[in-house]
Amino acid sequence: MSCPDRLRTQAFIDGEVPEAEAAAVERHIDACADCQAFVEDAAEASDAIRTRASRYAAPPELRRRVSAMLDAEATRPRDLGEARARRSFWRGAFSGAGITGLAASLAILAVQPPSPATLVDQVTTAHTRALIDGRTIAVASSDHHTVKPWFAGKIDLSPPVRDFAAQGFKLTGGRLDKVGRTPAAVLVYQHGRHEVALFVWSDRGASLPGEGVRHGYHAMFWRSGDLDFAAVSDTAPGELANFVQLVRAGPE
Amino acid sequence: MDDHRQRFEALALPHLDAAYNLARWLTRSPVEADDVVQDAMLRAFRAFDGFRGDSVRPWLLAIVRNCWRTRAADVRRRGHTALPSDEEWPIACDGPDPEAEAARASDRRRLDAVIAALPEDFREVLILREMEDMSYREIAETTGAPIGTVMSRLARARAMLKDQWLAEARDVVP
Repeated sequence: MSCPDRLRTQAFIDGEVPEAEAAAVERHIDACADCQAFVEDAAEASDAIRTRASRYAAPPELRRRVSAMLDAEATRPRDLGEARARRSFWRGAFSGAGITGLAASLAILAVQPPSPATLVDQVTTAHTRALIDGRTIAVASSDHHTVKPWFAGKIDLSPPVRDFAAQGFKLTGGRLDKVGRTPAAVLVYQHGRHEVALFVWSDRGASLPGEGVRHGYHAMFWRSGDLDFAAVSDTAPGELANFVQLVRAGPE
Repeated sequence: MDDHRQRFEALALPHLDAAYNLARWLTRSPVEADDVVQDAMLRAFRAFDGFRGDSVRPWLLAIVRNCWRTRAADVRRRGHTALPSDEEWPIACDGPDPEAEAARASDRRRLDAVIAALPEDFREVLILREMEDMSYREIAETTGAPIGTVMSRLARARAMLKDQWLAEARDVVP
């Protein structure tokens, strides 16, 4: 017989349990042999798929065909007519707000924020992908006067760049990455044998998770001014919290 | 490039790989996957003005899934047997290989075959969760199933994969 709480246990390992309930689920798993076995099986299945199964990318030829098809579709006269008819409908529907209203709703669509659970995934995935590819650093320097200007012109924000070598977190460089679709500046720090990545991106109104864990990587989130921050590492959570404190305490 | 085309390029086309991956795993055929993705992208493009949802990816993948379901139903209705059914899907079994590289490749092929042999309802939630990193809510949006159903299918799919994979490994290792 499987445990009646199995789906809640699964939600926990998938990062879908609210922060407030996480401790209770953890206590349950500690006490439930069935759930422990399930967690092991699920982790094994998950690791197998993520590391060994085929994930197919669209072939270049298909990409070209889709592009050409859309170009042809976009210039079809009949559709231009349809689009015009639709547009005048919306213009009427918004009674005067018309195009402005439509444009505003499109802008909202373009910057639609991801959910907190997705953010944990996106940040840890970006971090582990960079580690796997060995491309965590695009500009290597422990000098913040070198790293900070490197971002100018590459991304529409200027991240606070400081070195905490004296406190055990040595600045080693930076790179550009993405959190989901949002461009992010990433600062890389060395802490003992662990790498700590600080993601910085423009606030899009997403509700940030406090923290989360994926596959052994901790991520902590916060907002400062109009910038969102995430610190990610496989170092101990306490160490990561120290790092976060250092960054947040700064003059920036 | 007109505005509609540009917006689609910026918001939907970045998910072309995800669309293709889902199509490959649903159709289990590169040729079918090509057709399904082209069909889906065209439908998505035409419907894009009406899109008002949270995020493009679950919406786009729902279209891919619907294109596949419609197509599969058509083929079944016409009595064709071109599509491999769950029972017919062959489990590749190459036996032990002396070369480590070849062994890894055959490992991948066998795992792929085990996933491909899962019933579609279970296969799709596994792909969306483990390969596309989608949240329960997004998977529910793509598959049109309630979140509770997504959760139980996912648990079942993981258990099935584990069992099949072990059974498979037992058959291969002498």
